[in-house]
Amino acid sequence: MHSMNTVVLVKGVPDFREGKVSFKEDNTLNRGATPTVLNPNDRLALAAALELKVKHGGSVRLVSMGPPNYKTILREAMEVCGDEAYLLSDRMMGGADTLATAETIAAGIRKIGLPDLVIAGFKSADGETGQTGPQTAWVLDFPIITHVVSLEVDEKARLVRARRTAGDDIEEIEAPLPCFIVTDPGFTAVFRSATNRLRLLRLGEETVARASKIDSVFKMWGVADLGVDPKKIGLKGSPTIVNKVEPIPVAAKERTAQVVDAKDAGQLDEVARRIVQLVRG
Amino acid sequence: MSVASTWTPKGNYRDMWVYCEQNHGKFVTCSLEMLGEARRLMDKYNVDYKADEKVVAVVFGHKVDGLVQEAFEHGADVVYACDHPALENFILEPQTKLLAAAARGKDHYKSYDEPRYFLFPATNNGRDISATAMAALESGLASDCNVLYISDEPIKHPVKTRRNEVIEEIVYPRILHMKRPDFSGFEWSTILCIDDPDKDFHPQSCSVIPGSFKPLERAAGRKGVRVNVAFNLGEKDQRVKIVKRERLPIEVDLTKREVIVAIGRGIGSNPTQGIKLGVELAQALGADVGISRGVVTAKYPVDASVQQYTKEIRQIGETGQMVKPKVYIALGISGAIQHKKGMDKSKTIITVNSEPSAPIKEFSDVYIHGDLFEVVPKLKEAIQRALGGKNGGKV
Amino acid sequence: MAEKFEAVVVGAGPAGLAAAYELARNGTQVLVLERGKFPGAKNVTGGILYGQSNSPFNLDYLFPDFEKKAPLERDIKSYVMHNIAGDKVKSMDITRLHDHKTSYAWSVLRVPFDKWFGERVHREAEKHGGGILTNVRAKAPLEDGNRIVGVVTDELDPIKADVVIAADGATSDLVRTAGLRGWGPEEHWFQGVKVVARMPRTLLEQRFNVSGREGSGHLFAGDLFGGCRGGGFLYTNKDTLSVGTVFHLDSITAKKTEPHKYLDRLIKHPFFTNLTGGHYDEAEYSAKLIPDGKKNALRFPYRDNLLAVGDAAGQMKAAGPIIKGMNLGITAGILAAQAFLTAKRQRRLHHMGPLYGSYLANSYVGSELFGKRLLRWLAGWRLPNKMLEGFVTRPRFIRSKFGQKRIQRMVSSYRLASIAPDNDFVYVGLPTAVGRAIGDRVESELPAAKTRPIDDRIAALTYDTDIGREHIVVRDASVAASGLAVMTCPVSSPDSSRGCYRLEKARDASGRESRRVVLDTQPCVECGTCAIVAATDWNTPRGGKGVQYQLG
Repeated sequence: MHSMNTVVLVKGVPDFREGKVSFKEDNTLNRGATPTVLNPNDRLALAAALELKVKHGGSVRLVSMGPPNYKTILREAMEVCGDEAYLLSDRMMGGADTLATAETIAAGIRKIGLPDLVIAGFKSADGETGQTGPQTAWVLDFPIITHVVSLEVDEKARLVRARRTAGDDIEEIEAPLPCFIVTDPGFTAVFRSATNRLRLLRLGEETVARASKIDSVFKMWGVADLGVDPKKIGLKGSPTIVNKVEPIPVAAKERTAQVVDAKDAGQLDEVARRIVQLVRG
Repeated sequence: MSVASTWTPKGNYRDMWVYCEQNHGKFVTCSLEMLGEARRLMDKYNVDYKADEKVVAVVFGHKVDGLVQEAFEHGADVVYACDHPALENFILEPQTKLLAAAARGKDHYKSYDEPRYFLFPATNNGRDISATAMAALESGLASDCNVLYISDEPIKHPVKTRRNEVIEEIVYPRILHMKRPDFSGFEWSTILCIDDPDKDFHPQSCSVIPGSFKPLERAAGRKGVRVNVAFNLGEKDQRVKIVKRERLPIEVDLTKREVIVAIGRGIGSNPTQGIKLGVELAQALGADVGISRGVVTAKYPVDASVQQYTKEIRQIGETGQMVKPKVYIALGISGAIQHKKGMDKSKTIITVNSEPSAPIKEFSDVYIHGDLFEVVPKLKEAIQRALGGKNGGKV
Repeated sequence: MAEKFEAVVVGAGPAGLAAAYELARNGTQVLVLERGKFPGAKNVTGGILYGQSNSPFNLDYLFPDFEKKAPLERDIKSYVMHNIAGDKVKSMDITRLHDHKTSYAWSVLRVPFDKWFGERVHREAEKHGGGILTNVRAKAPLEDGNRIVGVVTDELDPIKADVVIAADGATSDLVRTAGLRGWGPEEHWFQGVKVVARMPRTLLEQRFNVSGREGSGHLFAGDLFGGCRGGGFLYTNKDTLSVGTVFHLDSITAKKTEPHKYLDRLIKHPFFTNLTGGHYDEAEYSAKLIPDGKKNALRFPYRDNLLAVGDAAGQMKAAGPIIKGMNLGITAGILAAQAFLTAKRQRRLHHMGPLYGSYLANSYVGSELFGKRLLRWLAGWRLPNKMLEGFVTRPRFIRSKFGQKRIQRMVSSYRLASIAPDNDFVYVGLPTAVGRAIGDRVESELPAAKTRPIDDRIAALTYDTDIGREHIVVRDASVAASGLAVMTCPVSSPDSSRGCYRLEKARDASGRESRRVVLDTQPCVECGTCAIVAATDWNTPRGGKGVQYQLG
């Protein structure tokens, strides 16, 4: 029987807790100067992959694009879930915006072999665009379900059943495999069976062990390996540029209360006017 | 010093298109906000560049005639409408395909290649279709913008302005500057979508944070050009199916409110009356009502009419909702640390409290000393006066 | 269709884990369900894990190497009772009582200890297709017709099992839902509150005159607890102290007192200040109900295939000031496992309950809990007690060499401690009289310790609040029905606005003002006190939710 093949897209993001991010001359992010960590939302994509692996078996491959030191990101991701890790890394891929990134990642996924499912997390913590997932799906010509909060696969019918948030509504979606899933920050894996929970524990331990020896399951591919059109990737394949970066001034907020005596009608009127002004402004 | 040359795109681009998202037959508020901003941007553009380019709304859905008219009345000159039962609920793939076909196609209105600009709402669906539509049209976009303007811009860029191994400065005309708060609010970035020497990148597009812009006053009866988009999609374009759609249980979302009136245990001596006063004050200001943890746990015996305001879903604080409105009015809240954590990012904090030693005073901008049962009615009247007239006042 | 495991153990405390380990190492597929985020998350102890020299079924039966491997604190080798009357204190060595049939007496902190125990059990259970699942709250037996065939949980589909071992502690959901025991009256319970205080190891060893892995235990009784029946304790850990008070719940309610205030009184007493060198650095506050085994232990701790062990079965022995719980639980756990294994071998699964009952009865657990009933009954007679009190508490008697020898003998006798009645004389009268008559006046030049107000103690605890779901509901908010909770709940205080229970003044729709008892379950430490003293519908929180101890 066919077993589920899943690809999870993961990304490194600057760790905003430490120091300040810096930028290069062309205003792209200077990643070298900022510590990089796994994008927090990607953990939900990995959790979704792990849920499916617990319930259906199969393999989970992790794909990321970035400089060679992103191996640590893949390792961090593998501690959640992953059998193999692929890093798409090449100077020519640098400075890519979302469209160029989608082209590159799609090429990487094609080289691995088209899976049953591609899962991405919602929005990265740095770019915050939420575009790469849908664009990658489009390049791959996969049906896509975004904002997925829970997920089921019917292996026999080759169907994905998902629940997704849509504004104030919740939708139940059906789509054929292969399919592209973007998890919502509200995604939750659901395990109602004790056997599956035990399996989850075991797979969790296995993947942590695997992550500590990532070299044996790690591959790094450059532009030549992917055979991707150089015009579609990197700075060249990117329609957008970051033209200007300005710091947002954050005023340290120290409040000193103006004390108003409620019995003083004049003062109360003044407060009322101030409130109205603030509300309207 | 050489004089910078000016870039000329290869294709023919016109107009600002706006994807007007609708939900259950109603525009999401951001759709009208974008139409307003598009109108303002293009009116200025037409003056600055002595041009006559239009605001084009895209309205996809089922039974959209009303929406089409509404788009005209909110500033659209042209509406691309597709009316089909399959579009009743938003599904990404068919919508993207229809949108891309309209943007690329030629018709009785459109003779140019592609739109010059394209705005999308930065809602869940809007962000998704902005991404797939630009993947389909092979152009670029900025997401979650809240400041937009159009001007010529001199650019030096290692790829886009490299000519014979020299990075030149080239002036790109009519560039949409898309500003977005970036990196979790650390930076402002200005994103531009710039043609490449070998390939044009148009439309220049972005998604717009809801609430960033003001809609136009509705001009009843305003007319425009309607272009009907044919729904010519097959099975393979509609792989994703909605099996069921249902309302989430109603939630009170205070996190996005601009004005909040919060009620605390100061109402204890007469809870029903205290809540009523708070609700009336909130209504006068167009605000919503929050409560402190103390009110939740007190389980005051109150009239059924105000019971909904004592429920945990309205709780503000560390274990409730974290709010940051423009104005936060706290009535009878002492200001425990757990409450503070949920509201001290508010821009202006106004408190009414009879206890001068209450901790909340320490993080108030205005502290009104007095019994809320006496102060609130007076404050409400003062606000109504400030709004202009006892009954005429509305925010 | 329900999943099936051979054995399900509910609760990853010492009793449940002992049962699970004994089952697993004999090849049983055993699933352990723990509602905390990890074994130990919900667990606290007064302090000492005893080894019982008159039974093979101690922790070393499961892990001969546990003294090397387990995260134990100190082997308590000396035990002193401090009789306090005002600022006078008379200390008496009661190590003999402590040593009675004791092979070891390790002070432990439950979070590290239970985690270690859990890890060992999980590894063993995994070999046979089982293991420990945390964040799962088993709330009731799964019944088929009238028979218990498994468990129902909040988080998982129903699970079937050949045996269900209820080891879910003093507040056991299973024992109640299976109809084995209700909450019972206040007289059936003790309430303990405890702080763990950090102390640098060298200072601790110097102050308490201990070294290596050895430690000491201290008990405090007399007049500093407002006449409540119970007392204080201090056990030395490696680099912390476990300091607490334990009182009969009915005496706390009768005196309408706040338990943590008595704990503070102990910590602030000049004798305590001198004992600790004025060093006090509170790390964690905790509380629990302790079943009084004399009244609370289940004579038949089983129904169908459900066997109850440990606190869930009320298996706690208070021999005077010596409190034994964890060792009884471990022994009962092992015996429950063996009853199942034997019944399975004999293909008489229905027999496992009575078998477990007989194993218990033949072990020290049975004799400690149910033995000497006649003597106990006799010792509880009011008149002889009064006469004894009148005689023994005379200062002249206490001051005499003869008297002191007698009293020393009395308090060191395990036999006597076992049958001693729960009256004021034993808990308060005698120690106070001794302290007053022959105690040394204690002064301290050091400032008294700064104890934390209850709000700060709550703030220092870790919670994962189940927002929108309250696990306890006040059924009757009148002061008459539930007012006691404001005082006796260990995380409530009339001075606190952050605690669980408070009185709220409010006017109702008709304008009438009344005082009502209101509850905020967020700071709840899940001790169960309010289930007994107030009119509540009491449940444990869902899996993973609620309080999470870091030390225990």
